[in-house]
Order: sequence, then structure tokens, then C-alpha cells
Amino acid sequence: MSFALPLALLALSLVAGPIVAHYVRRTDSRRAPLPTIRLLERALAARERRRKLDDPWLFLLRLLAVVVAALAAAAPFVRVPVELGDGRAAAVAVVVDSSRSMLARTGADPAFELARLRAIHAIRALPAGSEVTLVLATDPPRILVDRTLEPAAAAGALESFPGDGLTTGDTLAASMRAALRRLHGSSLSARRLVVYSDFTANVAVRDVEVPPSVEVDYVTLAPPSAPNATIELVGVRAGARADERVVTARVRRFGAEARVDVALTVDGHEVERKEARATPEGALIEFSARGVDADDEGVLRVVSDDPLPEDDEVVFGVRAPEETKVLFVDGEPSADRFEDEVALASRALELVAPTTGAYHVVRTQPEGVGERLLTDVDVVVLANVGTLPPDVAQSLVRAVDRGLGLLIAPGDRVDGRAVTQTFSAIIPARLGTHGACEERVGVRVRDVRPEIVLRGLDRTRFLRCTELEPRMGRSQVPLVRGDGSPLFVLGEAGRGRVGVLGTALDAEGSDLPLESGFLALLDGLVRTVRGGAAAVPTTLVAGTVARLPGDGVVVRDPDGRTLAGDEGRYGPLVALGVYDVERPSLSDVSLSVVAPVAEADLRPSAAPGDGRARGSRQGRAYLARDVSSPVFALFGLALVGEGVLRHLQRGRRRASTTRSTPP
Amino acid sequence: MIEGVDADLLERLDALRIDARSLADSVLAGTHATRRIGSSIDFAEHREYRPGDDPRHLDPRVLARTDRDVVRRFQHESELRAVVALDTSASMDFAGDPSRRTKRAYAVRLLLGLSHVLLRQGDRVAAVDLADPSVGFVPYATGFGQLERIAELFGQRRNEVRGNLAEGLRGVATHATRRALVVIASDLIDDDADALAALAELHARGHVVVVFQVLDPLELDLDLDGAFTFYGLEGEGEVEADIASVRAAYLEEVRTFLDGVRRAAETAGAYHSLARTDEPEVHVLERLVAAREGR
Repeated sequence: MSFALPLALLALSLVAGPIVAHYVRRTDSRRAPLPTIRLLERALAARERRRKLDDPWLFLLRLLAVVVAALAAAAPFVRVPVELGDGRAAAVAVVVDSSRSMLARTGADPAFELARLRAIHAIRALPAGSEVTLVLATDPPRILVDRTLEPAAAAGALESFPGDGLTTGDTLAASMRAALRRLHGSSLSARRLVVYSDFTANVAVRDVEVPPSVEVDYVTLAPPSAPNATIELVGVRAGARADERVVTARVRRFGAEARVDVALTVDGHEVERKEARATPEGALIEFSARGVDADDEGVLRVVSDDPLPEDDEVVFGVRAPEETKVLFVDGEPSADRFEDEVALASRALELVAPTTGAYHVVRTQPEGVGERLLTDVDVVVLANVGTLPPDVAQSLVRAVDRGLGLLIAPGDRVDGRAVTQTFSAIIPARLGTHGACEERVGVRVRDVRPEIVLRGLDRTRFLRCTELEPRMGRSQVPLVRGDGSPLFVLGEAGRGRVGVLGTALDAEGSDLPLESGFLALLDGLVRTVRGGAAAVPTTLVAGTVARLPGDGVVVRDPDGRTLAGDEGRYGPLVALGVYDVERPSLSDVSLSVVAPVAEADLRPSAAPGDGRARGSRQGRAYLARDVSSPVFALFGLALVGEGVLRHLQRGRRRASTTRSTPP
Repeated sequence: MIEGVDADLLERLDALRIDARSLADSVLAGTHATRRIGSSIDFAEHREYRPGDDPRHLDPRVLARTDRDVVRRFQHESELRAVVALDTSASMDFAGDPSRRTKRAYAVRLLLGLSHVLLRQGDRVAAVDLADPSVGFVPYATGFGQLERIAELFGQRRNEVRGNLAEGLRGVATHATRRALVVIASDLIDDDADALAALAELHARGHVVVVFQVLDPLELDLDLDGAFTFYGLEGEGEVEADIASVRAAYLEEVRTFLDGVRRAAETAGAYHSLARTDEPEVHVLERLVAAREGR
């Protein structure tokens, strides 16, 4: 404790007052004769001999009152370390990672709770006049509190947030950008961004551009070092019998490989249990279940004692997914499969199909595309298709509007401007020039699409690229190249979807077809464009919105509650489990909402800046917190106690008056 | 009217009968030292029987010869006298409250009352001023005039600042050459233990000693509040004290002091009675009678 008015401590000398008064009691001394004065002298001597402090409690209370009064008058304060900033009022934006990996426990509490507590503590310790914005890293970013001058309100809002891990870690970047935008609008000159996250492998914040005027604090909530296993449903397909299902799962273990048990339960009964060698890349494991009804629910569970048990189980419906028909339109056919535009891609799709669901692949050339063919397929892939007859193009546009998925993979035959103009009503990006781009390496996710899983594509070389310019407000950019240029742009068009790939599907454009991750990528791309109005995804990552357009669609959550849709959008779907989708004139489907697999990797990555803020501030700032109020309160209590004690003592004296009476 | 004795007291004392002889006997019976000076009990004279006399003292031979009721009086009866002694030291001029009499005034009333009763009964009474027994002395006499002389003695003021009680008590012995009932009124707060030894000496001489320890309620209870600077009345100096912090210890000292005086008085063969100045004097005398009668 320190004192703003230390001279007031001279009042401590008044401590002598109670001492003197207590022993001498001269404050109201009167003279009086007393013949038995010798008896009084003996009494005083006897009391002195006993060295007993009369009325010790009264003495202590008086002493306490004087000491506390002197302390209070000296304006005491304590130095409270300021977790954020340098003690000046500032505009502070706090971003809290609320992804699923933050549910992992470090000791008794999940990382999110630790982040919540630290953020609340830091917010409450802010100097008066600070402005607080609180952003949660959800998809889309959720601004809980927007530029408030009442830190208590911000702290309260954070306290009441459930924090059940709805998102994936790659929403943190978007949340940081949203927070920076709020800081930009503040009138305070001192600005600070604080990010609370476990900064696991899935957290991508390095590309977030932070203005030099903003101090940044990355607060790492250290994830547990224990390995974490997770299970994901790869697919359900029909078996040889009508009541048989083949369930394919992928079990991963991040941290160290190990053999783990995986169990399949259908309708509450364990069907099969197998052992798998779980690796970070994942091990496929297949189960066969017989006697299955279409309405049964299956549960895949990996038996693992790890810090994030939420991702050890996935609930799914055992309905076999519908077959997806894919039409590849080959814009540059060739007998050489490496030169043929669709040979590698279509073959890859056929290879992927058995594990994820049925793909029926059809190949044709541009002149073979007709209205009738378009009504019989689910996805059309235009692979380096230069020109289409206008009527075919219009048929495609109409088909997309009806729910067709369209994937455009331009190559050297494509006139970007012409294609853009032809499909102007539905295309989500303008096609730019097509040329060499050998310096661009790698593929990474920007806007998350649950259908797209990237593996092994971080060193993919691009040889020839088509520049894509996403149309604002009509598109997403799920994939970018290593340099950040758009690689895959997606947009809604009527009841269908259109995706544009910034490279060809053959080996002339890039190493993609030759990479081991190409199979999963293509599968994800097709699933993504397939996820238009007519398609119902079989799995959805928790926290995302299910797009299920159409009249009369009824969606029920795992508890059987009917969800209300907003123009075909349901969610975000939070609860894990199986959702039943009823569609008039179409078959009912089951939608499994699962935990994001990417959040299972709890291995830490270095936080940008390793937790140090930019700027010249060194050392730690402290805030002077006035504590005179509690000290004054203590003074009041001491006075009250002194008065009560004196009153009690007077009462005791009256009761103990001794009259020496004659025998 | 005699100073120190008002009509009210006299009226109340009229109802009181104190047989000095019986009192002496009862006091002697209650003490350890029962040795009587002059053990032979010699016949002294006859007198007419009066109602209240002990019938055992009727002389049957006189009754047979003369048909008169006479009682025999013995030597010790005829020689029993009373000496009333007053402590007139400065400490006796104390009243803890203006509404109360000083200890001296109270003691005077006490002794005069007793003297009145004794004189009325025809006993001889002498008086001694313990502050200066050589000068302050009224010889034995009977009659109402003796009461006035005793009152005049007790009303005199002397220049002595401090009285020596022991010397005063020994002075009584010089005047009471014959066995007598010695009644002393004092506060006995003299620190000199010799005073109590002097009492024993009086008893050893065959006197019957009654001690009225007269004290003011304030001295006994110290019922005050706050801080005081007390001063003694006999040059003891000053003492500062806060009542709250010292009262309990003071009361303990008072108890110890009173117990000590009582035990010493009893050991010395004296009858001791504590008289508070807020207690009617006649109650003290009645208590004395009751003690004699074993009540």
C-alpha cells in the first residue's frame, strides 16, 4: 500500500493519545478528598504489579481507530498491475477464441474459461475512460459489446456467454479484423487489440494486418500437452443387403501415434469394435452394420482419455446418402490422360466415391451438353471449356437456378471475359487473365467450407493460373494460393451453386492432380457446389448454417425440436448429433452435425509476436487504486466497537457495585 | 439541646435499653480473653429491686428479714464504668456527599447516644478525645450534666493535623484505671498497626472494648465515575486515578482492610461493628444490643 498524502501519517503520533488516556484517564480529572487514599495507593500498586492492561479490548479498539484514521487520511492506494496497456485510458478490443479446441482442459478448467477469466479481469482493471469492444471468434464474428465506456458491462457480457465451442479456430482472423475495424472508429488515440486463444495449429492469424498504431497482445492459453484423439465420419453407404450399412470413419491422434479402440453403436447397441493405429493424418476404419433401419442413429466413438472428449464421438444417421451424378465437360480431350482435361479429375472422383458416398461420373464434350443431360446430373464440371453454344449456356444457367451445381475450371482455352459475360447472372467471380504463375506455391483455406479438407497441398506448385476477382457480396473465397490470391470462389445462384477454380484440372496447370490431397480436394469441391438447394449435406460442422432451401422443408434437431428457417437457412446448428430433414417430393435425409476436425489438433503453434506487444512499452504498468474507502469503513467500525464496549463496561460496573455492609 | 444530639435521636434512644453490665458480660463471653481482673466477686451493697433486675440477684435473707425486695450489687457492678472515646483526627472530618454527616459528626451522635442511655441508667461515663487524651478528657460522672460535658468535649476543634490512634488508645488506659466499658468510635484507617495492638492492651487491662468503625459510603464503595486526583486529609499526598480502571482493585483492598480490622479487633478481645454514615445511628446501637442478646 502507498499513500498519496504521506504527511497525514503524522497523525499516527496521535496513537499516544489512547495510550495515555487509557492509563492515566486524565481527560476529566477532578480533585477530591479521600481519607482511604492509602487503600487507593495499594490498589494502584496491586494493579501495576499484575501488569494487567485494563480493558484491553477497549484499548485496542481505540488504538485501531487512531491508526486507521491516520491511514485513511493519508489517502492510501495500492498498485494494481495493469494487464492491458500502460495505465492510460485506451480503446481496447478484446477478441476471445471460442473455438472447440478451447474446450480442452488445462487442469480443472477448459482453456476458454481461463481466457474468459483473464479477459474479465483485464477489462475490469482498465483505467477509467477506456473504451471496450468485445468480439467472440464465431462464424461470423460476434461483437458482444461495441465500444462501451463501461467495462463492467463488457465483463458482464463475457461472463454470461455460454462458451460451448461453436467455431473453428480459423475464424479468429475474421474476428480480429472485425475488432480492428471497431478500433479504427474510436476517438481515443491509444488503441489496443488483445487476443485470447490457445493458438493451436488451426489458428491462422498471421495474415491479419494490424496497423502500427494499434498495440497487440496475444495471450496464449497454453493447451494441454497431452495428445488428443478425434473421430470423424467419412461416409455411410449401402451394403450388399438392404438393411446393411458400411460406415467409414477416420480416427486421428494429434501428438503421438497410438493404437486406439473405435466402437460403432447403432440404435444403442454396440455393433463392432476395432482397433486402429491413429495418426495425425488419420487412419481409415470401416464397420459393417446389419439389421439397420433407415431411422436408426449410429455413434462412432474412439476410446481415448484426452483433454478434449467432445471430439471423441460423432452421431450420425445411417441413411445411405444419395448418389451424386457428376458430368465432366472436357474442354480439351486427349488420349493422353495427363493432357486430357478431365481424365485425372474424373478418375480421382471415382476413387473417392466408395468412401464418401456414391458418385456417378459422366464424361462428355461441350457439344454433348444438352438440356436433358443437365436435368439428370447433380454437378457439372466445365474443365477448360472455351466456348459453349449460347443455348447450352442458357440451359446451364437455368439448371443452376433449379439447383444444379456448377464447377468452372478454366484453362488456356478459356476467354475469361467471355465466360464472365456468358455466366454473368450466376458466376461469383470475374475471370481475369490466364498466365504463368510459377512463384505461387501452396493451397490454404481462407473462408471455411466444411466440405473441403486440405491435406498435403501446402507445397503445390501452380504453373498457370487464372486470376479471379470475387464479386463483392456474392461470393466466398474458401481457398487461396500461398500468396493469398483466390484459388476457389464460391457463390449462390438461385437454388444452385457455382464454384470457379483458378486453375485447370489437368497437370498442365498445377501439381494438384498429382498431389495426394487432390482426391479429397476434388471431393470437397464437388460436395461444395453440390450443396445447393437440392443437395443436403450429410455432415455439417457444428456452428455453421445449413442451407436447405425449398418450400415445406422441415428440420428437426437431435432432440426432436423443429427448427425455424430463414429463407432456407437453418442455424447455426450447434448441437452435435443427427438432424432429420423432411423435404416434400424429395426423400428425407439425415444431417449429422459434427465437431470440426481441425480443432482436434491441440498442438500449439507460436502466437504471432510470441505474446509480446508491439510498441516501445517495456516492463509492466500499474494502476493506483484508491483504498481509502475500506480504510474509512474500518475506522467507523472501530468507533462503533469502542462505543459498544464502553457501554457494556458501564453496565458491568453498575451491576458489580459492591456495598460493604455491616454484618 | 445538646450539640450533636437532637430530639429525634433522643426520642429513639429512649426506647433503647442498654445494660452496660450485661453488655460487658456478653462481650466478655464472646471473647477469648475471659480472664477478669479481680476474680473475686465481692458483695458491695443492696439496692431496691427494680423491674428488669435479674431475680437471681434478689437477696433472700433480706427479703426474709425485712420483707423488702432488694438485690445484691457486687463489686464489679458497682465498679463498671464506661468510657466513650472519639477519634477526632482530620480523616474523620470527611463526608463523601454534602447531604451526609461527616464521620466525626456521626461518631459524636453515636457516642452521645450511647452515653445518654448509660447515664440515664445511672452508669458513670467518661469521655476521651483520642487526638489528645491528656487534655481531651471528661472524668467519670453521672447525670445529665455529664452528657453536656461530653458533648462539649467532642465539639472542640484541635490543631492536630494528624492523630495517632495508638497513642490515643493508650491515653484511655491512663484515665480508665479501673475496669471499664470502653467504646471507641474511629475510622481506624490509621496505617499504624500499633493502634490495633493498643486495643489488645486495653483488653489486657480488663477493659471491655467496643469499636465502632465509622466510614463513609464513598470510602467503602468508591461509587464515582471518571478520573480524579484524590488527596488525603492527613498529609498523605495526592493520587491520580481513573475510577473505572482501579475500582475493582480498590474494593478488594477495602475488603481486605475491613477483614483485617475485624479479625484484629476480635483477636484483641474487642467487639467490632462497622458503622456506615448513611445508616441511622440507633441501628448501630440496636445491632449492638441484638448481638448481646444473641440475635
